[in-house]
Amino acid sequence: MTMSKLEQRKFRYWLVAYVLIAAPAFAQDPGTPGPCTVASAEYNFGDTAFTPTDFPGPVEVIAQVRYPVANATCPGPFPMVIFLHGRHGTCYSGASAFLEWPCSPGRSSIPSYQGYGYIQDVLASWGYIVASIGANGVNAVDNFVFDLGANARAQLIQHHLDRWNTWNTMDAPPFGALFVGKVNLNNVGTMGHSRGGEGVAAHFILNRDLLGPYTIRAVLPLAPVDFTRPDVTNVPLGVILPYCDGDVSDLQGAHFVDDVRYADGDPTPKHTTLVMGANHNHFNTIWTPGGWPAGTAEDWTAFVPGGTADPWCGNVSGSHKLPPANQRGVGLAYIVGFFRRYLGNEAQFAPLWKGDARPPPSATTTEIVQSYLPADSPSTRLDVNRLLTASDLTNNWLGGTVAQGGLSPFDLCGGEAPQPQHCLTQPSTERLPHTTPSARSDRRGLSQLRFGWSAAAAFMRNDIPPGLGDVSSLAALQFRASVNFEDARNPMNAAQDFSVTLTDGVGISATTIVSGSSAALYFPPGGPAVTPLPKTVLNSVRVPLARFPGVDLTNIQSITFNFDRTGSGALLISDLQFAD
Amino acid sequence: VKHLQCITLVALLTGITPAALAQSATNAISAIRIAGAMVELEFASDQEFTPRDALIQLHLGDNVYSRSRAPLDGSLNRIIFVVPAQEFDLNVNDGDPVWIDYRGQQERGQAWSFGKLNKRQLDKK
Repeated sequence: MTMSKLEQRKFRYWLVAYVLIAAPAFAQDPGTPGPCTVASAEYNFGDTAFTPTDFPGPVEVIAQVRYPVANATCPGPFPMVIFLHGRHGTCYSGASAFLEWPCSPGRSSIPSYQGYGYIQDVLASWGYIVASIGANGVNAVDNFVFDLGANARAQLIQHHLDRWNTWNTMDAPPFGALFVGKVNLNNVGTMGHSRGGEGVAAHFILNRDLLGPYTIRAVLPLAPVDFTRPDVTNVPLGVILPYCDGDVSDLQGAHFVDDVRYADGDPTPKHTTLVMGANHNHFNTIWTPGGWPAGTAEDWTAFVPGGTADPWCGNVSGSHKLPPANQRGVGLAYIVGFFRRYLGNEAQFAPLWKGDARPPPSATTTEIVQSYLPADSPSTRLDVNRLLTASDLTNNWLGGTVAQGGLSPFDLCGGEAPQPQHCLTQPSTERLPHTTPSARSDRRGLSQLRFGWSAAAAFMRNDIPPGLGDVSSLAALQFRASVNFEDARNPMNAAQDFSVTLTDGVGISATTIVSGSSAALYFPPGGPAVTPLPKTVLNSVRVPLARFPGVDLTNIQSITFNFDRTGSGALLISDLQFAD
Repeated sequence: VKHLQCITLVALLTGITPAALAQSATNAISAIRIAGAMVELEFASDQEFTPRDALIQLHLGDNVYSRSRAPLDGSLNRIIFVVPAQEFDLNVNDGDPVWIDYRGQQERGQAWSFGKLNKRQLDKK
């Protein structure tokens, strides 16, 4: 299964061709600096300033702040964004790292909170106060508590917001009156990396349970753990997943989106962003080799035996691993773009999060694949087949008939029992992010339709009952999909393709091919000599409704997938719907 | 010879190659001690227990434990796991193979092997 250089080139060309031909460009690159003058500050109330409840140790209250200087161009008040780093060594001496808190005499703290300055700078230049907070005290002892520190991290974020509330309302040290009236705590975003990712999820719930003293309007877990599987609903959620993650290598953060995508009445969208060449650590400069004297690691090669030789994520010629500066480009573009979209309400970035726009130049790579799950609203989506239970194989969410021919198997997997727990029989769940088990929860994973075909006559059709097929206010037909790399009917290292036909109430049909709109049907690259690869990640296939000319979009009668583009194949899909 | 037999047993149980389990020659169970209602098992290795976001876990035979902490001096060459004393008495067997790895990454073949458990090592003072 090892990818040859030619095959790697084919994959790269596939993505490049897709983004150049199918996806429109941005009006503006979210990674470029904005008009506000940025200033820096740091506050530090000491290494033991805060002790979370039900937690065995003290935590520091320290943060690196980037903020816009208030003036006529950028008057404020400014939205507030909190960054929270993940688990890492806490102290160091020379080249040696340690795990303790506070640091022993002769040792100094490792400032993981300083590792996102490159994002803070640009976000602040667009009018956001960005505080990246320290959590070494949590890291030192979090494995000693059942939830592995999620609640402590949540409390720590809330404590910092309480401090900002003070600075926003009164003259108080260390800032005096600098921020009085300048902080909009009704427009707050949070980004957490790794265990910090579950931390921001837990914080959203904590703040809600405290009756919302602050209004959290955007949550972004970056390469997160999801040990306890909290449901983050009613807030835009964007999860960034690094394909070459050597630490949280099962990409368990996919659960954050999967678990809540059908929360009743949730008026907010969910996204995942799969970064094909990114690892775990290089989003944080302090964790990146050369960025600090101790504790750094290139996690893919350091933690994955044999990882160096992997053709996709390793160090071999032609590998797709992103150099640190390029990976930071991704972090910059997508994290700034997320908060500008959902805190700044900048609609120009909506296509980025739907996967309709090419990755911006500042991302420095085009090998990024997006998923989008719209808000639960008639104006944003019409579910056709959620593919959750066995009955969905014969009757869809709208009550229409589901028919198929030539597909085998044709079953559901990965979801609730009696479905099989996993859709593939791989030796490691590192390859199965959507169904990987959770350390502190027994929840199952994403229900997926598993099917394959061996002849070009194979098809699947979802009928839409009369009166329910008005999709004229929506923009695309979409579903999530992955090539089943385990099924030998998929040509090795070749992308899949098939035709999609919409038929209206008077029998007019139009057909397009998936590859004309989406790069999501790539053959999962890398491995199999290393256990984390290849991985099955379901990404959005979005087919613009404009690709079905002549069909009455007020009266769609059926959606037909015709597997006529390749002689054989096998896919996993979920979430068939029309979307905005 | 006993060490090799143990490695082979663990390899059979886990699918991890003996070579991988034996990669560090200086792994040791430093101490097993009572701490209130818990038993603390302290491990030492010349291969650091790197603080990672993935969850480090202890295997005692078929039993898996993930409540751990660093020693008071913060050294990454030692780690302490805690196991409920009653659990240790009833469910953990003398002679169980002992190893540490990261949850969900067992198949990588990257683990610390500590041979067989000797429950007589328990210091009840």
